[in-house]
Amino acid sequence: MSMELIINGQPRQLEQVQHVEDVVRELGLLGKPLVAEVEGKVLTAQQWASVPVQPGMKIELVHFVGGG
Amino acid sequence: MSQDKLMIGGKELSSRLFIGTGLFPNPYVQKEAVRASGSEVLTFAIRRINLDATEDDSILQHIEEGSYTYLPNTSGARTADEAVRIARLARASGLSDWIKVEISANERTLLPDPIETLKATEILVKEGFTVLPYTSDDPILCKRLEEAGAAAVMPGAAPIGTGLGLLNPYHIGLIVEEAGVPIIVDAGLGSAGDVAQAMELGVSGVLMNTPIAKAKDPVRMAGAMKLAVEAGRLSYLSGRIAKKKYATASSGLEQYMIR
Repeated sequence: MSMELIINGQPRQLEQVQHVEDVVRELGLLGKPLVAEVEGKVLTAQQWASVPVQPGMKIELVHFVGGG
Repeated sequence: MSQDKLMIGGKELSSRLFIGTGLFPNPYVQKEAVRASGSEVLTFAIRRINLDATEDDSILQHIEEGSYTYLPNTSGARTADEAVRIARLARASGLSDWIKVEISANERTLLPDPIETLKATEILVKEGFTVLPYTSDDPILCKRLEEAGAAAVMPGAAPIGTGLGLLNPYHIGLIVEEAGVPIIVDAGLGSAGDVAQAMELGVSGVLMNTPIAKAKDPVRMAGAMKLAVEAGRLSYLSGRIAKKKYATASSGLEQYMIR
């Protein structure tokens, strides 16, 4: 079953996603250093597997980049 | 110098040079420059992952494993609320609870918004962060940030990336005199001379990015900045001579003059 989520400000259709961890995996980002925020709430990586996603949810996936 | 350590947020640092990780020509040069600088504190920014790019461009893959303290910044934030949100995201990485509060309200100057910076500092201190706010070189504001619980206060020398050097050394001197926490000059420095000047005013350290990353030879410049920090610090600790209007002969004793 496919679900539309708003990821980093853009709508995205993903297949077979139940939890935040599934979203990260579907996007090919599992194992990479990143932080997820779901509906304005920052999650630790340990929470990914237990936080469910629902259609239309706003998810931010961020990481460290060069900066001063 | 071996006993002259810098303490911030319970951490003891041997190097007084903090380095930003943006703008380097490539990851190899960045790695070598960081090594040449002797820096122990590295700054990063937080951004959305580009989901359409396949390669992993997280800065962390380019950083050598070592005893670095990570100082993520809140650049891009225009309000205290945005800065707090970025800080929480940074801390969730599990890499650091240090945060450089950086809130710019003006695109052209990128000068810090002092009111939002103070607000964000108050909130983040209460949430248990080690907060290092980047701020204007205003002595009263710097004191207010210290009173709000900042672990160090980081007044700018000049707008970010300008390389103009210390625009108001008088204010930086006053800020140091009043300070009960380390003062780190952050942003606007251009050369090793600027760094030494700041250190001679008694600041505890400097944070820079552009003057190293955009130098013709970033690795060599990183070494120059390291030496400038040390020279300026030693000079400050040693107590410079007073300035005088007229000459004083170095050999003295007028009566033994051969005439």
